[in-house]
Amino acid sequence: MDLRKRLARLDRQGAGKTPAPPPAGDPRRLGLTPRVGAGGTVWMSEHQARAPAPLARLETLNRVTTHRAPDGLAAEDLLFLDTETTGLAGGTGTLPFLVGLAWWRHGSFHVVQYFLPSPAAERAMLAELAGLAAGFKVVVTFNGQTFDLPLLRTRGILARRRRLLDDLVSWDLLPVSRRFWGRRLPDCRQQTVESRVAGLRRGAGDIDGALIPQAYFAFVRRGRLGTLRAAIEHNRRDMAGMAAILCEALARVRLLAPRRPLPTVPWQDAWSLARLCEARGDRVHESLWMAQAVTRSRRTAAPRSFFVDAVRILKRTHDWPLVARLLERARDGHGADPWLHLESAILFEHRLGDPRRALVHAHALGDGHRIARLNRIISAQAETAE
Amino acid sequence: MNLAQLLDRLKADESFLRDVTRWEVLAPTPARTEPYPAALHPDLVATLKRRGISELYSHQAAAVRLAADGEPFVVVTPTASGKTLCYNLPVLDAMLRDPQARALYLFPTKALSQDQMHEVHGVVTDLDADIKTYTFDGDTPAPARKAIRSSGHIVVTNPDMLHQGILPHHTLWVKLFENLRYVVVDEVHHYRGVFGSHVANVLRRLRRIAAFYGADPLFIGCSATIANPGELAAGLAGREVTVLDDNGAPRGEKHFIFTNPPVVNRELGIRRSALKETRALAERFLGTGAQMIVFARSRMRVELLLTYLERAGHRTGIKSGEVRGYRGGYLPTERRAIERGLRDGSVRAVVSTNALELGIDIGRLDICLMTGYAGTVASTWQQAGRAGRSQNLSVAILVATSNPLDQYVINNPDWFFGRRPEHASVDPDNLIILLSHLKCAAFELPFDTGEDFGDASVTEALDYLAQQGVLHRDADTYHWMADTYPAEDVSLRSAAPENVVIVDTSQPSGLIIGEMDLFSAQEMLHDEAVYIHGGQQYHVDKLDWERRKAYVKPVKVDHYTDAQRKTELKTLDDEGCEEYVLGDKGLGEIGLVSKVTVYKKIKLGTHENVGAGRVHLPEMEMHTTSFWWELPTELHGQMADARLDLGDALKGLAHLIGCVAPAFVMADPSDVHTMPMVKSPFTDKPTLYVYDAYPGGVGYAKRIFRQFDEIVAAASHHLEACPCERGCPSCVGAPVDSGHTALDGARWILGACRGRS
Repeated sequence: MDLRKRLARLDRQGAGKTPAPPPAGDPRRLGLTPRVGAGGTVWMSEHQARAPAPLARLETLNRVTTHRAPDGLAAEDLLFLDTETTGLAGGTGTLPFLVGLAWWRHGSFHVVQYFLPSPAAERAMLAELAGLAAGFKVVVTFNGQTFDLPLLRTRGILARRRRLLDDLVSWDLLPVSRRFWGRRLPDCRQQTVESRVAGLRRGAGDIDGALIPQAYFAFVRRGRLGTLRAAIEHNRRDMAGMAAILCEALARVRLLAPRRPLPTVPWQDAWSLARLCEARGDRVHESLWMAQAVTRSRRTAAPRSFFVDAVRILKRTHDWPLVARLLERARDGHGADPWLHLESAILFEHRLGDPRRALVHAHALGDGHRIARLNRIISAQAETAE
Repeated sequence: MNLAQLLDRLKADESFLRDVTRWEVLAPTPARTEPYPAALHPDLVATLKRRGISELYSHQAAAVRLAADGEPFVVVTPTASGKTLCYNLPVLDAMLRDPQARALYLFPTKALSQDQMHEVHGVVTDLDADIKTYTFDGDTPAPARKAIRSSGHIVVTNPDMLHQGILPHHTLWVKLFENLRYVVVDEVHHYRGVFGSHVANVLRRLRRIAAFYGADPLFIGCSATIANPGELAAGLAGREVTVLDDNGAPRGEKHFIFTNPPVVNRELGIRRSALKETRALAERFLGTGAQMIVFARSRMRVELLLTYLERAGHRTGIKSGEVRGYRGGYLPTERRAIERGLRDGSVRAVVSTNALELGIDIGRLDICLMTGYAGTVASTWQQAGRAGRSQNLSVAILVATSNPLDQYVINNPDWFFGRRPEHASVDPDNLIILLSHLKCAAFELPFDTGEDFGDASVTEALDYLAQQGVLHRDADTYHWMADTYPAEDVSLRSAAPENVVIVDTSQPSGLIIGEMDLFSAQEMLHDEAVYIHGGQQYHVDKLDWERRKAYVKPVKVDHYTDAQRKTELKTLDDEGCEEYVLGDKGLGEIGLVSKVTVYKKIKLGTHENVGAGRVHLPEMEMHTTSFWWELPTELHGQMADARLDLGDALKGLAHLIGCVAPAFVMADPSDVHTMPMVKSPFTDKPTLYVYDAYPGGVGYAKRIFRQFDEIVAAASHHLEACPCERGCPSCVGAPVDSGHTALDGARWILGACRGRS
């Protein structure tokens, strides 16, 4: 049986007919304008907002980014990028149908969005993107390191345009946000970070990201605008949100080594700052931040990992009574475990000179050597006392 | 006792010899070697010489020459004939000359990939060259994947991983695809039926992606001996390939023994159970200390034999860990441990399904027992090759079941030892399979209008997918337009992608002990079924069909269950009809509605029927390809005159042909189903349908249509040779199943055919 007939059996509506061309959706109705670029027609929209660029030395953000940007970086060197796609599945078949780009220039924040009325327009869009990217040094994304950038590279390879965006250093604000605020926030989605850290509100008009692919399919297949306008707006807000998060992150970087007395931050953020200082080998600030976190977390139930970090960092200050109090809090909150017994045994034996209390923990650990040694110490002390 | 002594003992054993239909001694053959071809890189030659290979076998030298000429080829030589060098030599040679060159090796299973990697690794280490060989499969840790993508020279993987993990992410593999010089496909004969039809499409996708990156890799295949390795390999390679089958490797003396258990019921033609016979033989060998592999055809039989052998082992002081089972459904770690145990000798006997038939390294064993014919000549030789893989003396024993296919083979040893009788079938253009892979291909790279997919013209299929909304057609291109990852939904191993998960509820959080395809699950995991897994019986408390879960708990009962499937058939389309010596033969599409309705309880040991129950599961519907034989309506009257019943005759013929045909088309008997109809609503005549048991069909029916003359001749010959008196399960089926005149009726029809031809 030929293919046509077999297909017809699968679909009784009469397969084998060439599908009617989809009713062309009009990108103009989405507020987009055509421009003939080097690679063909691209559909785009441009916006400008007054938004002062951050004044701080931008390269200080290198302390918390995964990739290092060159020194002497200006705000004008940053290119913000966010894509809206036909899915999150990854692989080659996902189409970035909307690519939002933004940058600071002359005290304003410029947003350019490229839209694909159909997949055929992608090649011209990628050409435009490559040309535009050449003027920047850093590409700033939120989760772009694992999603947007590999996706655009993949689409570049398919369009015979290798090394797309490869010359730009990638600053991904997702890991940065995790490092600064991850211990405090319920999750590190961009909208959570935006609202809880930068105080941005998206408002009611924002579209749920999960609905965006369907909005695009409806446009491509049936020419329906539907919620696609909201998706474009969503993308623009994503870019503004990234800029806001970047500014907040820069402010946080300054707290890693503040000149003035420490400002007060939520205890989980202080914990995060302590960890970042620790990772940089900054012994002074790691303990200052951790001490703040310990103080400010007194009335809350901190996770066990907090006590592990706090004990490790604060032991380096030799403030043994503080360490003892921390171990007590850990036990009250999470019960005794081998870590707690070991830390306590060492603390009481070597730091606080209390072999009897150390012995309790040594027994709990079942550490024969330690028990024998402590018993010797206790009997020696008893003899001395006599 | 060594193997020679063991054979002497068998030769003198009257009760053993009584059942032997053939004792074939394959004389040792000396090696035929040639000097290394001058074109081969001197470092490679020097390394191989250091490894003790002073010359190449003739077929290896021929392989090197073909590769040098850019000729795709398939090597068809027996197990342990040095097949791997046939591809490793050209591949390593290419890499020594061009450090950028890449090769992709495909093995049907993960286990084989691991094995192969170790082998190549050995040569590369001795070569002291920077040639990186990696396996890339589901077990490869994420951090290693990046390195493999960019720097792996030889990437060893399986078709499933190529399909789901590599091709959909080809932009991460630019280096591999741009420099892809060789695609090596081992165990080509495995890529037939459903699996083969899928893999042929995966390779179409591979060539399409390679072409995108400007590469045109040379295809090298290896196959066990079948009648049409060239045709099969060409289907995978996408072009004609040279068949290299002149084996130059030496062979040790091999004893291949066919034994047919005695008839216990002459009237019904029922023979003593092959399972029992194998069990008796295996128990006998178990005490001798010889290392043994026992093959059984189903998972259930593996478990039964394992149970018996473990018990026997206990009696003779063999620890339970020394006798192991091996089959699909066991966890990978368990399997690796068993393989190791076989290599180091700590496992003395293994009972396996055909899972161990493939070239997984389990060392050399002494004895191979086969409970029933392995289904194909190729597989039988591969199983037999497990004993004495090197140049040593070895023995393989095939114990026939009462199954007609077995009886056909065991009583026609010349058919088995003579010419190559088997044709492998694939149908890459099976609509369901083709559409699945078109989706995957479009996801990987948009289709241009008019672009072919391999040798298939697919414009209409692409239009269909566009209508379905998963593709979007621009001016001259079809783009993927859905938020899913199509390869995820396509399993290469089954025609239907879904599985039922088996949950052991006696374990704390409901341990998952295995998975099973929907069709089999209806038969083996219905409510109240006794399912055997890992030598343990499980009672199925509940099959939650909606959620695709079977809840089981371990039990100890004296029976197992066997479910019956009922099927209705209607013809949908007639693709071609030809006159046959008697009536006509046709080929076309049919629709089937089938339902599991009842099950029988069968007692362990005696295999007697001890009860039954009803099964309530939804119907399964399927469209597939069918061959049919429509007989003249006059037959009705003519046969009645001879006091024969046409219905019985058709049932008998269906039984007979349904079991002889698989031997010719390399199908498992369960791959091909038959259905006799005294008056088919479609042909309006007495008709015998023989159809593919898979949606859309995978080529079996087509091949049966082509080879029907041979199949009828073989069926006829087999029927005459059958020693039963009134029909038995080995020929036309027992009278109780096929009717009392089935034997004479089938003879009458086959006689009428002979009379006219």
